[in-house]
Amino acid sequence: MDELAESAEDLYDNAPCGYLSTTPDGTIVRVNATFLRWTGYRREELVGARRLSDLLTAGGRIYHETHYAPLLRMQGSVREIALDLVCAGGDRLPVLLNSQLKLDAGGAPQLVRTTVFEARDRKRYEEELLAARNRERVARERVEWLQRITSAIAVAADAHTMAAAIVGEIVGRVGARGAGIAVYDSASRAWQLLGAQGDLPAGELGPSGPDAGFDEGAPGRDAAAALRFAGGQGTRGRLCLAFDGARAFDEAERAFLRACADQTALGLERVQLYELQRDVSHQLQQSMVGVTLPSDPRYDVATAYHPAFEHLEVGGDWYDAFTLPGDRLAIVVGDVAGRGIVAASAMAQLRSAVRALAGAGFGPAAVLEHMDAFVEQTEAGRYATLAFAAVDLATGAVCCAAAGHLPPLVLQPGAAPEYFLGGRSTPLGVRLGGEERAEATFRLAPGGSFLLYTDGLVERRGESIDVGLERLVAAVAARDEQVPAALVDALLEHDAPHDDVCLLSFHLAQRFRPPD
Amino acid sequence: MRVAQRHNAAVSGRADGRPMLFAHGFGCDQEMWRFVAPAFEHDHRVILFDHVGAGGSDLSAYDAERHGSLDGYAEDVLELCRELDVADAVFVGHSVSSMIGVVASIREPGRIGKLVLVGPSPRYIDDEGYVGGFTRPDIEELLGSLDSNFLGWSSAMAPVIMGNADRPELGDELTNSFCRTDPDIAARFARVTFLSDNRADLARVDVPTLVLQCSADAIAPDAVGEYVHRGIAGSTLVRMAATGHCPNLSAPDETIAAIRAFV
Repeated sequence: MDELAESAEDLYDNAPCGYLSTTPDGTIVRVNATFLRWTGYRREELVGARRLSDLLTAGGRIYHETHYAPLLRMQGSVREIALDLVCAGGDRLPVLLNSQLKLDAGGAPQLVRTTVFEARDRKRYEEELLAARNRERVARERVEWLQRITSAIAVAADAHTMAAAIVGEIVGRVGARGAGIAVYDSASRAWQLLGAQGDLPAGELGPSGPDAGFDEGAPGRDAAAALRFAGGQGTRGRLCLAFDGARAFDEAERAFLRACADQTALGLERVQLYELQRDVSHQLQQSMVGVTLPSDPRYDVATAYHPAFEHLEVGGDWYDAFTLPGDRLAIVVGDVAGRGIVAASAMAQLRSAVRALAGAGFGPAAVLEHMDAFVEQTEAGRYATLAFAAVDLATGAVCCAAAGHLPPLVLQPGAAPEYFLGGRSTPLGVRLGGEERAEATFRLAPGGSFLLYTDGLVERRGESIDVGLERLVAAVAARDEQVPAALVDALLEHDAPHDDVCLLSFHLAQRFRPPD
Repeated sequence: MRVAQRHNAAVSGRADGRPMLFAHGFGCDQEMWRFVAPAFEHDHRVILFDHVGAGGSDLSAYDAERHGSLDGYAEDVLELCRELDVADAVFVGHSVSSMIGVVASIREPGRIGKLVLVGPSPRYIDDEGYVGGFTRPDIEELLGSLDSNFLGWSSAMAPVIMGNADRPELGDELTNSFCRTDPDIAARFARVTFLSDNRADLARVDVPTLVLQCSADAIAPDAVGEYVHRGIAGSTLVRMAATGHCPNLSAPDETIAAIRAFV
């Protein structure tokens, strides 16, 4: 038993942890052999000569002064404070410190006893945890950022806006001095700068600029990156970045910038295709609504067309007016479902078909019946709505047929505006149980008018159509003259329409005298 | 929320006495002053508070932009002064709060009538012709360790209460709140503290100022105290026998005597 009994002295000196005793100001007064073995100091280098804080790194000294010492004084003890000791040879030893303050009989601090545990493994574990946390954070931020770029690309309506948005996001994110996007125009065989921000050396984006890759730079030479991108439709371009001074690009950052370049290529192709479609459909529609309207001293036809703000694609609204045999005038307003080039081409076909049928002498109901057959054969314009009115210029009689379309608004002189609800039937291509297309006639007095329009004029989101129809009546009643453009402006004053608006007014001259 | 509540402010002492604000430095909270502040309650209206992010302050009031510079902390102090109707106060700032007091005294003359700077440093990093006590890599290492030390930090935040049976005034609640800071805010406050440069502000101070300089202060060495003293015209420099950076804890009697002699 005696051999096994530990001497207190040996237990102190060779304990599996370091022991330090210091005065309240930190001066080391006693230290055990374990501590000396770990740190490489000789006893006489420490005892009476050094403070505990002298053995810490600069950062550790600050931590010691701002946290460790105050906590110790306030609480009488501190536990598990992670610090690095600077060993005799200059190496760092990660340790955990526990300290206990001993007070004298008067309650004043007398001695601080500290145990020191080596914490290399714990430190490594903490570092791994921290590194994992940072990697996760960086990855998450990159994904969020890429999503921002992708949505910036998605909302851009043209290549320049898109390039400016991408460049703006990238410059701030990677801390570049400048960035730019250029594409190669095969027609002119020249590079075209789509968007740039900041300071980008001339020629950087052109064919003589740095080829695809990352240049980390060197003292005296700035870092740069140039990422080529190519789309499936033959789009070729470069995303270029310039930095101040040298810098490294880690693998995640490289992958990330490559993803940006790929997104740019996809976005550019989408925008180009979109621009092409938009140009074609705008031209198509311009040719539809830019018709020369017939004129005659006996009447006046006026129109207004107002595209929706939120759509860059054209809609399928159209109007038309043309003379018919037998001193009659045809008035048409129609609306094809859908938007863009498909709707525009369907509108063109329907318009031609209506002109051909009406010109062949068919009346309003018969025109609609033939149009049903037309949309069934061609599929173009199924579910389109259409209002067709044939005006007898000799009598002022207006024969109407409306296929699913909103009713004409009639203004007889001296009377309140009133919707004409005769001659109504279902949209084109939708015949219920073989019922026949209807038509009905009203007689317009001299000085009277009627309006045909598409639903964009009266429909508002979250509102019954009846409210819109009443609003139109009120607006018309409030005006002496029914100038379509002014009427459209008045009705859309507080409310940007979510759909195209098309309006046509027919006015019979005051001096028109129908036969008795 | 009231500003006083935001800063967990505690007002004590003589209601009609000259106001005396005690501002804690980086690391802990108003408890830093518990051995010093009571000595002034007899003659002064004593106001203790926590900076936003520390102690019992309202963490939701932390604004990364506002508190991204010492100006924001100084504005907090001034807002507190306005709400508590404090004028011509003695502002006692420890460590980084010295410079917060300097900035506040310049921003709104009249609120602060006297400055007591305990262990001040207008810039911690050495510069050409200036000894701050730390190199830039030193400070980078500190800022890095605040981040990497998060496990150690959390154990420091909720220390096990031991050995205070003979200090009954330190209740559980108090012990647990002392040095409790939100780790993210603490890391940002450290950045603001140790990267700030307020040397140019010293010449703009025009209130009587006392500089208390400890011996062997690892954070604000002698040369820095000298610099502050020379920079503030007419200031008084007192070299203390107390060692370290926190004489308010390690040598409260000497600290009280020096402040009392000045006010």
